[in-house]
Amino acid sequence: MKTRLRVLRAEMEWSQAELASRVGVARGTINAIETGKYDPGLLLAFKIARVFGKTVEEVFLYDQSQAPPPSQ
Amino acid sequence: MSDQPPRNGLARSRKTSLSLFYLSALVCAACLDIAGKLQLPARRLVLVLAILGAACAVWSLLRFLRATDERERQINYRALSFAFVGTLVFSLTIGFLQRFGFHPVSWFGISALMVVLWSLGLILFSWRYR
Repeated sequence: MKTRLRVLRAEMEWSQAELASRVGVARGTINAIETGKYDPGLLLAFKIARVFGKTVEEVFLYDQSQAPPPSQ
Repeated sequence: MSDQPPRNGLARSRKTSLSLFYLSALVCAACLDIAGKLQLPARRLVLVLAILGAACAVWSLLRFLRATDERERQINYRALSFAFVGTLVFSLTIGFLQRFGFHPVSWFGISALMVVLWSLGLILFSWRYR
């Protein structure tokens, strides 16, 4: 999954720690999402989208190339 | 303002709980070790201390788990799986080797190994998701 989190955060001039505090997670979690090491669950994705006033689709982009191939 | 609890407080609570867990586990281990060398009245007292240490360790572990976010919970889940499988393999191996005269390992060694593997798993998977 790709994310526009870093761009949106820069637009709001928030640090990772500030965003983490707003959505109630650790700073490391925001960093892991931004670097693509961790895909957030639905609840966290909605929380993040809400603090930016956006929809989930505007913050997180589904990358089909990373999806596992369908089983036969 | 956010309607979430302040994350700094949660992070501090998580750190405190983990430190308390290790301290309690250490006190419990030390008491169990000392209890084996004492006579009955004093031995009973030290064993009560060991039980209190174990109870405190369980309580602080549960407190630690409550103060984690979803990524930290996933890290913890993987660390616990790693510790469980590691301990299972170790126990089976030791059990098998004992048939050929290998030195028996105390029940306390198994639980200590589980804590060590869990801690190792936390470090390993925290690094993986950094």
